[in-house]
Amino acid sequence: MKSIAIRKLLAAMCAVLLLTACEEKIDLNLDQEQFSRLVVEGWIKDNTETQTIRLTRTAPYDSNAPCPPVTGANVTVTAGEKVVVFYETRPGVYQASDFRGEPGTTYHLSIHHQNNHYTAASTMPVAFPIDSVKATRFHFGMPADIPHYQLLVYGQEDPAPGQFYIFQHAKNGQWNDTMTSWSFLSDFAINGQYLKGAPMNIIESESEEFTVQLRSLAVEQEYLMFIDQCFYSYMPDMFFSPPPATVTGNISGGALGYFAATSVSTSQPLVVRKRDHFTQ
Amino acid sequence: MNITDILLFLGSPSAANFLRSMASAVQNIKRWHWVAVLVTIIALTIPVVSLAEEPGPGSDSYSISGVVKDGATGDPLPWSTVYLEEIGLGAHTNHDGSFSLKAPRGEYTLRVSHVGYETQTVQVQLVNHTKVDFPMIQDALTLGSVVVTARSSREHIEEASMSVIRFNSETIKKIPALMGETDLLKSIQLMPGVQTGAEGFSGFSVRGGSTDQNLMLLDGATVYNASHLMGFFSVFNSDAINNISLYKGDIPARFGGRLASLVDVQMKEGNNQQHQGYGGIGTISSRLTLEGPISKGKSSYIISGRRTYADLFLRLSNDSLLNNNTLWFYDLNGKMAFHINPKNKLTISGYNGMDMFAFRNMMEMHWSNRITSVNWHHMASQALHLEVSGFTSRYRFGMKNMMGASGFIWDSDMLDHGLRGDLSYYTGDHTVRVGLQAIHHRFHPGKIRSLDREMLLNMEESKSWEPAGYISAELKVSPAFTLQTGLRLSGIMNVGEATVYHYNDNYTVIDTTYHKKGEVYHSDFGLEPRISAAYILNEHSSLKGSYSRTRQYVQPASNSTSGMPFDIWFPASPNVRTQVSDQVSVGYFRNLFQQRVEGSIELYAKHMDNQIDFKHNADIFFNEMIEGEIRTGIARAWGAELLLRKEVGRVTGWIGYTLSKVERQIDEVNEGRWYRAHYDKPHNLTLVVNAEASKRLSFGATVVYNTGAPITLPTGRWEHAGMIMPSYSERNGYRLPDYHRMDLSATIQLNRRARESRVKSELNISVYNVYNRKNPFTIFFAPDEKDGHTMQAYSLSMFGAVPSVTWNFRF
Repeated sequence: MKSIAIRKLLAAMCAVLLLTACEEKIDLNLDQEQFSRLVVEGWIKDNTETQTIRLTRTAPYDSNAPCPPVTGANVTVTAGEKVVVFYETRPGVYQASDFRGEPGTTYHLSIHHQNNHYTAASTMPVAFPIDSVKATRFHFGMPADIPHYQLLVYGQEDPAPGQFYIFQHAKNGQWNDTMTSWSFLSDFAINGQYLKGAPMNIIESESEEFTVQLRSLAVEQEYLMFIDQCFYSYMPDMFFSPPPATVTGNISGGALGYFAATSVSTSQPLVVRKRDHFTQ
Repeated sequence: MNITDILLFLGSPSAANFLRSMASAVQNIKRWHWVAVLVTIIALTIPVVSLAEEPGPGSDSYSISGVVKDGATGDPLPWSTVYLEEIGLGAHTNHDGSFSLKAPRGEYTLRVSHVGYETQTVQVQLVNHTKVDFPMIQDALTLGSVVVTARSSREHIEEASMSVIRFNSETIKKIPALMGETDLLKSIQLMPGVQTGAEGFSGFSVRGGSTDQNLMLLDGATVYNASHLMGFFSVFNSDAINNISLYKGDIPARFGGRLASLVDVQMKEGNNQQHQGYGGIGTISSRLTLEGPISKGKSSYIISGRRTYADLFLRLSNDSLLNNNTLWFYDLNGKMAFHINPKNKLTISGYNGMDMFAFRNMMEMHWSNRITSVNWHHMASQALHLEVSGFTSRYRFGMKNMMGASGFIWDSDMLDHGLRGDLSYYTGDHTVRVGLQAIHHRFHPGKIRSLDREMLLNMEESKSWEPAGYISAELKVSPAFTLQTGLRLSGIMNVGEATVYHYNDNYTVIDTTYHKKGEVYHSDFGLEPRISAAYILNEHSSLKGSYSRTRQYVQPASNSTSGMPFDIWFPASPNVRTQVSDQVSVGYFRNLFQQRVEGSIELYAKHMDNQIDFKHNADIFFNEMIEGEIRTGIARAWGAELLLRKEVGRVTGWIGYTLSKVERQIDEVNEGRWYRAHYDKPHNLTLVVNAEASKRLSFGATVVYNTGAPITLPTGRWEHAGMIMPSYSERNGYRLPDYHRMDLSATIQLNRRARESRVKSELNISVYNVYNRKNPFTIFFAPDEKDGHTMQAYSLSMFGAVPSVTWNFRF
């Protein structure tokens, strides 16, 4: 994930160079998209969670409502000869409960909706097993009056090169699925090494005591490239971003979004006490 | 039609019709290529025949040559006018101040003029080959004040070249500047035909070309990245610069390698009469220059340095995001000139500059230019001049990421070696030039090491030769008609060791070929004809026209809308075709108000082939197969440029207006439809004024207006991982609001009797964007603070009103 690192540096440079800049709200009269497109957000995991695929549609950019769900689709995932049917449990949410993925297996997604057919494929990589997690005080660039902590991860990285990981965290049992809170790791520079306290997610908490958990999701490189493009698209860095373009994932048939198979490793809960990190 | 009519025309709806007709004409430009080649070859026979009739001993024609230079400093004065009054024969001096004329035996009045200097007239008995040097004396009226330009008004009418703008550093210093930092490239952006890339940035577009299509030469050496501080300042320290020429289209045949323009910057040679120093202390930087004779009258040196200290201010901030960072650049220019004897001159010049940005102990980025050039000028005879020069230009970039487990060190490197030889022959009415040149490129996209210095990835270097040869002639066909022709043969030769990837129609690699070290595995050569002509209508006006073809063999791997310091260039290859541009332009040139104001209107049309773009969301970092990310297409540009420039008197300056259009068409972008280039700004108006209120006090003002830059805005939205993502329909389908601003400056001499004082100093106070216009730099979106599902549009403007103070001194 060198390009994400480069983007972070550029964002830092922009912050310094924009000392004289100012921003103000404006009203725009944007054109409306002529055709809405199907959007897929699907995960196949190797744990016991209910496997979920969400289907929505694109909406006008200046809309103030969530993107509309896509109902009535036929959704299946195939692994070898095994076909798993996903049932619509809520509008736009398609789930399969008695099924879990296996590393090394390629999963094929098939969606039929209103005479259109969409497909995608993803191979599940090997997990990064988390041995343990520690927390340390983090104050750089953050408001001084709100305590921030950084999680440090310990674990053995797989000796096979070309592994990519996402790290998500939970605070008091509540997992944060928002992309902006994730951390990323490529084994490019640390292939096969034992990680001794590699800095990962940053957590804000004013509580005297709280619990945190960290989980790693091993993903294909293509998914991290997709995430990288999403960051460019979501928050361009003003100077260095390429010309804006719609981010396309791995779904064929003109749909947006991504279908990813991932193996997951979750740490034990860690209790963090403010007094251990901040003098009163 | 006079200029008033033309102005009225440009403001009328018929301008749109004019542009549409230009659009259809531009499609046919490239078909004129072979016609131009033929005309060039025929035209070149004229001076060749003339050479065959070269007068030998006993002949009735003799040459008169010499050097025009500043009498006080010994600096050569390029573009001075040398004129034999009796026969109406004239020439202008070369960049080294030299000239040569040929005339029949006789007695002549030789007049030498250079704006800002007293005109010199001498009587010459031409009975043999004669050499006369002209040490010029600064005009008393302009001593210590506004020295505006280095060319005469008549040259504006008579020279065949068109679309050329020349500055000297004194002009530039009088223009109000952002943060008080006078900047050559920012000054260029105030001329018609030149569009600013983005506010505050040094990058610019010339007549529809992209920012990488401008060839920047510093004493003949290529400058790849002319930016400091991410582009807010250029690498050209105006204290060390003698003059700068911008060729917007009619690029002389002796130059090549870029499609759109040539920026030819010449450093000062140093004062060969006396030691002196000058410098300034400004808001964000300070500079110091020392120059003087090594051997009085025979050799000289100049050394000039500049250093910023913006990071000192950052440390005063309470914001932990800003303080304790490093952000600086420095420049060091040096040059030595040796007048070995009247026939030989040697100059050695160098530039070393570096930028450093460090973000605490987390990240570090630095980039640097190191340039050296050597030039030997030999006068074999009065009429035959030989110039041999060589250069090296190295651009390096480095980044160190010390954050997280996957920290790394990235270094990349570009190195050019160039050698050229130029022979000039002056046959009286005609001038013939021939030359050979070759540049060796070595581009290394990067090597990546771990923080423990273990090599993780070492990308393959690309090596290539860019050879060229040319012949050109300036022909005085009749007293009223001057023709300038040139034919350049240039090419690229890719040299192993290299791995070449072969792609199918879907840009997927289907095969690879390995080429051993030294093997030439690909070459591409082409002709570049250049023709221009001037027809003098009367003493005050002329008509000019030109056609030029240019070819570009190297380009940066960049898909950002502004230049980046880590733009690594790559050459044309089996997968990347050479960029080619054809341009025609016509112009009406007229001097007004007793030759005090130069006026011109130029129309141009341009077609460009094999224009480089990248696929959507291209992966350009550390990608060995970057050629598979490239998408190519065509571009077209056309426009009209009006310039009124007053160069003498207490009030000087110019008004420039450009009406233009530039579009691109690439199959994979915008579904193959034509779309606006991001530097397409149809209306562009600039006003630059310098007024000398007294001998001690002068004022400067700049007014800029242009149409807002194109921008791509979303039409739809979708969600992924809790974020609202935009979807887009048309590239550059919207425009930012129109851009305008006014800058003001005042300069006061602090010495009451400046001429008698040993140490002289002045104070410059300037305000950039004086009425605090919030010109949008870009528009971005962020979730509304109250409603997470609504995306709110924000306008980001770079600079409000920015005051600055600079104290300049001279001793």
